[in-house]
Amino acid sequence: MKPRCRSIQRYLSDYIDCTLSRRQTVTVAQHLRFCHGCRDEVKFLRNTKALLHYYVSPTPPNGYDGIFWQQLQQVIEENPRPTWWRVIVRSLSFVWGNPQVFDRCCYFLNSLIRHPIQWGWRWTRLSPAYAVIFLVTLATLLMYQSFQTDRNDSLNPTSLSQFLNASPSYLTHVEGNRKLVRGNRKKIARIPPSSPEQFEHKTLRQSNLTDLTTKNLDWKGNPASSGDDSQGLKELTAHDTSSDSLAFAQLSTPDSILAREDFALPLGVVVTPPVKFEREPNQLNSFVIKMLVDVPLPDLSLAKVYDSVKL
Amino acid sequence: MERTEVLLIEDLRAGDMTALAVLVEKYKRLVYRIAFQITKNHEDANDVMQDTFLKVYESIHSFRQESAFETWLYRIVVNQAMNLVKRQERRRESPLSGTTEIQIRPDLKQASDLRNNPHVNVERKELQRQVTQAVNSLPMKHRMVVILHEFEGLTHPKIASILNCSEGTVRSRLHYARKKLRDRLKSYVELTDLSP
Repeated sequence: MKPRCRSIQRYLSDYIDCTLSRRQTVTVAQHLRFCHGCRDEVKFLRNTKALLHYYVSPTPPNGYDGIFWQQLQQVIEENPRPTWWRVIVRSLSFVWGNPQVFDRCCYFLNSLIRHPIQWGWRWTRLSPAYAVIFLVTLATLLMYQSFQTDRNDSLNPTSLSQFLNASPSYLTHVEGNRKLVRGNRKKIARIPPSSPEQFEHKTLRQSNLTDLTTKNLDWKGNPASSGDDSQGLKELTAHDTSSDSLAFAQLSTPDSILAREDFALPLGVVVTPPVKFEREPNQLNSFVIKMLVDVPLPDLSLAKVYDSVKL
Repeated sequence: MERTEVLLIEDLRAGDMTALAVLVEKYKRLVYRIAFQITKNHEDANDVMQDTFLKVYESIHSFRQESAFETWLYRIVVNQAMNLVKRQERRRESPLSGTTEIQIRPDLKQASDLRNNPHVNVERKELQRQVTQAVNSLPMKHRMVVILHEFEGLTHPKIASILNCSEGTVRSRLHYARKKLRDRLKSYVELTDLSP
């Protein structure tokens, strides 16, 4: 490639967007008249740009819009910011929105910082004030951090889909059960599974398995123990022979997971026939598959992935 | 009577939830689109969408109307989505096999279309799949520029303000992104004449 071409080709992308200056456009156009290589390059870039029209723009699933607004409203109502937080935010926004107040605050802070430099002996006198400011800032940051529930996500390294090699061909509908609550994982983890009825109700509501009836549900283990979480959720199986939804299985939770209150392991899946699970050498994976195989149904396959969160 | 955006923002500042409802209704598709294109799956797009509107609700006081609300919203959704992706990349040792299934969600929709209409061109579907895959395989910073410029139709200065970088950087990223796309879609780009 000629040095001239190299310098021109940097502008070709802007040339096809018509965002070059007039002078640059003329320069590029003149070059293109005599250079086949650059002309081809322009053609290819235009083709690439045209190809992007074939990109499939994602759209939300049907019925998602209404659900989203309801849940957002619920989140806002259920999780209002604490008063201290609102006071700080409003104060800051007031200061930020009023230049005079902002300047005065800056001046005050500036004088606060410069004060001990100008009069060195006063530093020691003002040090308690500095200490208080530092402690208040630290406390604010710590309190803020406690509300940063996204922090929980970093403790959650896996999801159910990691463990299961399910063929995508029959995954016609993938839906998570993550309730739209900020930091819901921690909060849901604290909810003791008080009774099978309550649990079953949540299951039916969240997974929309309307045809999963009460009479077909069967608990294994000791589900109705509200005091001890490790005994609370064992396994729920539906002996329903209908073709579309055979069973809902709630996998038991290892004590270590409950103790940590995170959701590193998947806790629940909805299954329909036929089964297509593959065993991996990974111990964790074997554990999960074992739990799935424990479901006493002849043929199972993954219909909906409930991603790392208890239903 | 339809409220203007400025009035809606004022009402939201006063704690009016109906103003938030109107804004959500107006921008939810935009936010979902951007979130999905960055995170590449519905679940994360869902989370990003929720975080974005919560952030709007909580931080509307700090919005000084120096830029358009839409630009501000773009900035929030892009930051939220990029933060989520970065967090996931940090904690993920290997790419999830499960995300592949979710990525093909639009294709599944197409597959159903195909069933409904047997005359739909299969090659076109394959091309759509290839283009979507090529765009999704771009590095994050290049993909962001392509999404905002090519699909959202934003100008270079606007993209620069959203991504908090210079206009020259945006131009450069767009150039390199197109070159990468050209290489990945070579068979289509060089054999056909698609330009208008």
